[in-house]
Amino acid sequence: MAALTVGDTNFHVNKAERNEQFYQAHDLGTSDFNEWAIVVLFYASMHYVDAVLYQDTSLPLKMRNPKDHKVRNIAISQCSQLNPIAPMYVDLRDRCWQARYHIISFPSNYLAKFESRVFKPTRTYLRKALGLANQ
Amino acid sequence: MPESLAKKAPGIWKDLDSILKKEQVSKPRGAESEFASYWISEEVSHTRYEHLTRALVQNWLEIRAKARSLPSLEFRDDFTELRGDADLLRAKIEVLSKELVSTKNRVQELSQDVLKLRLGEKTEASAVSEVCKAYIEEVKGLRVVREVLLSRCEDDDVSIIWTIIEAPPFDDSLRIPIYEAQLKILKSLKEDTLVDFHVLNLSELLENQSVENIVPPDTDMLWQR
Repeated sequence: MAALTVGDTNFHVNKAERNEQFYQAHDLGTSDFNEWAIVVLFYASMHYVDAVLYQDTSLPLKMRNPKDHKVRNIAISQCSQLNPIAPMYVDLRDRCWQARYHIISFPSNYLAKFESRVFKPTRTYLRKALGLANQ
Repeated sequence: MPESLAKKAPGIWKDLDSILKKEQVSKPRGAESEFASYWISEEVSHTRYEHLTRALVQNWLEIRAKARSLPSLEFRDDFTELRGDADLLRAKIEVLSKELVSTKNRVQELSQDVLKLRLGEKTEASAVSEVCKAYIEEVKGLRVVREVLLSRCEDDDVSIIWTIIEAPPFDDSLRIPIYEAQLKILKSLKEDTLVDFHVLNLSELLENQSVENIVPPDTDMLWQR
């Protein structure tokens, strides 16, 4: 395993992949607790996004290592490499917020649709941008 | 007794007379009587009071001797101590004066900081207001958008713009244009203007939920279709 420094690209990729492993290990895609499936998918995406932000040396250091979602959102809006998936990332974040605070669970058919239309395109794009293989 | 003394302290002389008559002691002699004779001769007729008791004279002499034998340094120490106290107090006053000047300067600095902060708040409020106007311009053309609200989260020092939509539930494709508008606004923001966004779909609320239950109580309506 590559050496990890908190906040750098390897760290974020590692966190993103562990979130995905957790998702699969607990079969969250078919679980009744689909609100938590959305939360895990969002955090996997967030770490891929942070990995890309860290590599963007045109951004101020504060934005390459965002301390919270507000700063991260501004950073995403200013990182040209993230433009294609930025609206989907914001959707992931909004649905994660809804899952945690304002919904009991999502409709049973929603997660599969969300995963294929929002999460997977986002993930595929981000891994490619990071030079990682897509399995 | 001289008239002047009789007027000044009539009671004392009367008492002294009666004591002397009772005691009937012999006249003091030699050096021991010197002080008494001197004292008497200065003030009163010596013929009348020259038979002051030996004991009385002895007492006077002892008191005088004790007074003279008190080390003069003792008095000097008192003075030195008092002068030391005075110096200490003077030094304390100087320190307090300096502190007072320093405190006054600090108060002036803080007053200026408060003025700057107030001005900054106004600038920030004005910046947020501009952001809201620009955002409303971006989203009011989207048919699903019903309202735009604004709340302030003091803990995070951030303004939250709420977009209330009415759209088929859990259709994320209808949200994407709203998120694109948000990103456009975020891209134009200065780093220190912290704005956050949330989208609420009326069709996705639970039966007992309402927008008022979700948004903070001090939320302002910015735009309504």
